[in-house]
Amino acid sequence: MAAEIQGITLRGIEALPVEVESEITSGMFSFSVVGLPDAAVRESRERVRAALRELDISIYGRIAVNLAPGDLPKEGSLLDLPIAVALACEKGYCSPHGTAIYMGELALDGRVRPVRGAVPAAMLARSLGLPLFCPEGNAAEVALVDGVEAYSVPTLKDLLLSLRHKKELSRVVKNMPPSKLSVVEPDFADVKGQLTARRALEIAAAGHHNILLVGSPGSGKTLMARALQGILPPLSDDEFLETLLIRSAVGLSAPVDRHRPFRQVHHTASTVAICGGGSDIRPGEVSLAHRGVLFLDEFTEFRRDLIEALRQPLEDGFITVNRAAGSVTYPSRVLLVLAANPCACGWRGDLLEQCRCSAQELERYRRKFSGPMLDRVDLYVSVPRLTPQELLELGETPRERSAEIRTRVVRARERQWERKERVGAECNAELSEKMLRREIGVSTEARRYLTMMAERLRLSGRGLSRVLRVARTIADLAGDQNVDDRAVAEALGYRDAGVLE
Amino acid sequence: MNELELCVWLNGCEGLSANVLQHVDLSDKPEKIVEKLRHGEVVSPRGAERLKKLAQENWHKKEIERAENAGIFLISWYSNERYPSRLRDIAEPPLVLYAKGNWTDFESAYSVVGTRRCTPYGFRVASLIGSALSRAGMTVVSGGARGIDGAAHGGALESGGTTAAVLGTGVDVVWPPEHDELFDNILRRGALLSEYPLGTVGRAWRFPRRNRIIAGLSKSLIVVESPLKGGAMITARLAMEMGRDVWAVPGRIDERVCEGSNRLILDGASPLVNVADFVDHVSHFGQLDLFAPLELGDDERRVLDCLADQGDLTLDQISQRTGIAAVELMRLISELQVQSLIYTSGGGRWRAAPH
Repeated sequence: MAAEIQGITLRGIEALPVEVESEITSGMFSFSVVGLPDAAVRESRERVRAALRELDISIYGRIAVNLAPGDLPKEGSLLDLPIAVALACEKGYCSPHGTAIYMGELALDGRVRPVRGAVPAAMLARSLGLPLFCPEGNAAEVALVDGVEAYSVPTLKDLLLSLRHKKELSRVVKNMPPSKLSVVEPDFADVKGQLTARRALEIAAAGHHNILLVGSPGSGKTLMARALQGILPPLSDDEFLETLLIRSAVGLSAPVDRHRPFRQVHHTASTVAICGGGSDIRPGEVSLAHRGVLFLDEFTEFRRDLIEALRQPLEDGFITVNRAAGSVTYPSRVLLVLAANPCACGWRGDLLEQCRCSAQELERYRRKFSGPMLDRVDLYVSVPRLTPQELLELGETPRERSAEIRTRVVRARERQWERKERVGAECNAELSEKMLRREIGVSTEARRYLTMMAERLRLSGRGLSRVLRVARTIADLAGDQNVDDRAVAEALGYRDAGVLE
Repeated sequence: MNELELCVWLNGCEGLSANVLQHVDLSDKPEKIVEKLRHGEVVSPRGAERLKKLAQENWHKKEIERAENAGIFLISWYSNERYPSRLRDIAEPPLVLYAKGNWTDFESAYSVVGTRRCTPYGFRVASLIGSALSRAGMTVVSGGARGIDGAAHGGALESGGTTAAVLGTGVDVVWPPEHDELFDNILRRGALLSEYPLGTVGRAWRFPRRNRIIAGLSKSLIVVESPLKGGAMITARLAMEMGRDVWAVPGRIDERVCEGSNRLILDGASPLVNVADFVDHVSHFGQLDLFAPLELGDDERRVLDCLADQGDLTLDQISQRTGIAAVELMRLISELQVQSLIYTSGGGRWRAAPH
């Protein structure tokens, strides 16, 4: 009978089933939990006993709770509820009708608190075909998972009453992911001037290209990087679920709309915080930004080892975290936005402030702009700091709103989707070298033009691929079937040369 | 000891110039020579010690052998036809020149110098001057340093001319390290020169001293950008003392790296206001067709004119002034940049290239 009560434990973003068995025999009082529980699970003894006493279910004697499989480490407080149910059943207070999954943390007065991992649990319940009893506080997330039979549990009392058929628990109603996009602040209409950066960010959003913004302090790099979120295409159903899953695994609430995630990382962040890990192998920022934007402000301040650690997840689109406790794979397909000052003091090229860097300092600073991260950047943009006079001058010009830009971006993405089967890449930034050379429809003039330019500008093979990828996106934005020489010419404007002169 | 060995040996003591040779009799033994030099107070006691030590070790013979093995040739004060004639007239001519690459003719050599920490504008101008001079058949001499020097060498190489870098290190030392590729290119079409023995590393006092060679080798000296206390100012002062023509490129008066070069104009250097005119002035070939008229589209011409009127414009301002829409303008700017007709003055602003 006890095997009918299932709990879950999390491994990364995956929920694993845990059978909860219990036995009460006469003897001196003792309460032991076996089956590799962590501290949080072991402490559940106190919570469970107090919550049960609140319902006038007192337990005496020798109590043993077994969490099977016995060799799988169990973590978290979400096993409180199944343990309490198992004990209540053992005492004959109620009997479960069929196998089900229970999850939730108990308060001493019997309330059920929300836990992290509700979405992975719902997915597990769906794949096993079992009903899920989840805390009321997690119902909103669970509702977003299609095809799961879930009930929301406000208190332990309600749950036990329902198991005795004395009360009905409310069934979690399937809820479509929100389809509308809320307004993102700042809007691109708030950005004065910055034509180049606006256009480059539009291209970045359309082709999922990584982008580097270089500019003096106060030029608006951070503002525009934040505004990028508002012009990205909305998450598709599948993508929405992917982000929901990761958020749930770290205990973040379900997103309120279909905006892609935007995660900003400070340069003092630890490698574990960014790549994932810790004793419970949680996902890091690079996974939380999955399908969205990972923004590294003051990119040159980041430690070398952090940058090295980010190389693999950016390259592969997933990250495998290996720890003694096990290994977990998290997705990490992000659009990387880097921002940096043009030099160590920050004022190189500024109209009002003088740069005070020496030649060596400039050279040392420039050397930071190479390496694994920059190799993955397709768009390099200088962001000028406008003088107050120029800002006034530009104040009146009408500016495009984010929503309008997004419409174009969405259409460009649709064109890439149509090609997906043929070229084997969801977006232009992922086009392979082979496909770039053959399958993206570069016109003859464009080819000739590019060959000429490659020679004159001494473009490397990598540089050439960058230009082709960006040119393809420019053509997609314009709605052209072929990449013409005009698109190539514009793409050449986002090369790395020029940004750091 | 033959003449070359003598010069190489004496050159092993830093700070000696060919002037010491007047105190030296070739037939004397090294000890005797050192004694005489010491007696005439030409060398310091430490210098004398060093010379004695080098002579005992037969250092000069080994040095000559090392140079031969590395394909570096040595030009001593006594190599009559090889030693640049203009260099003989300066106050402290070098005893020996180490040369790596192809020996070039310094009859029509022009030096372009300036700060390592130049502005994008200075870089542009230096490269343009280098390229214009070499197209007119001149040899471009500079110091192989970062910034202006590198731009001048690069400009000369770009238009297929010869260029020589006079280094403050041994010719087998690459400094600054990022000029690795540049030095390789210079070797192919010009030469790396130095008076310092092989393996000498860069030290702050060596660079000002080699500046006298840069000034001495050239017919005239062009200072592109230099702060008041810059190495280029030392070179300019030396060049003026040697009676060379000194030209200076006018710079912004609110830019620290232009203060020195602007000051030179005040002190009598010729302002270099137009590169084509300048090259005409110094070239023996008369009017040169350096800048062929460009075939540009209407819109491109409009953007270029707009930038020629006023520099340091952002894309928004260009768009406002020309009425060309953003996407189209991005393309035009990119094309003009690729053709080196405009350049970024840093921080996402654009200028028309000087000519």
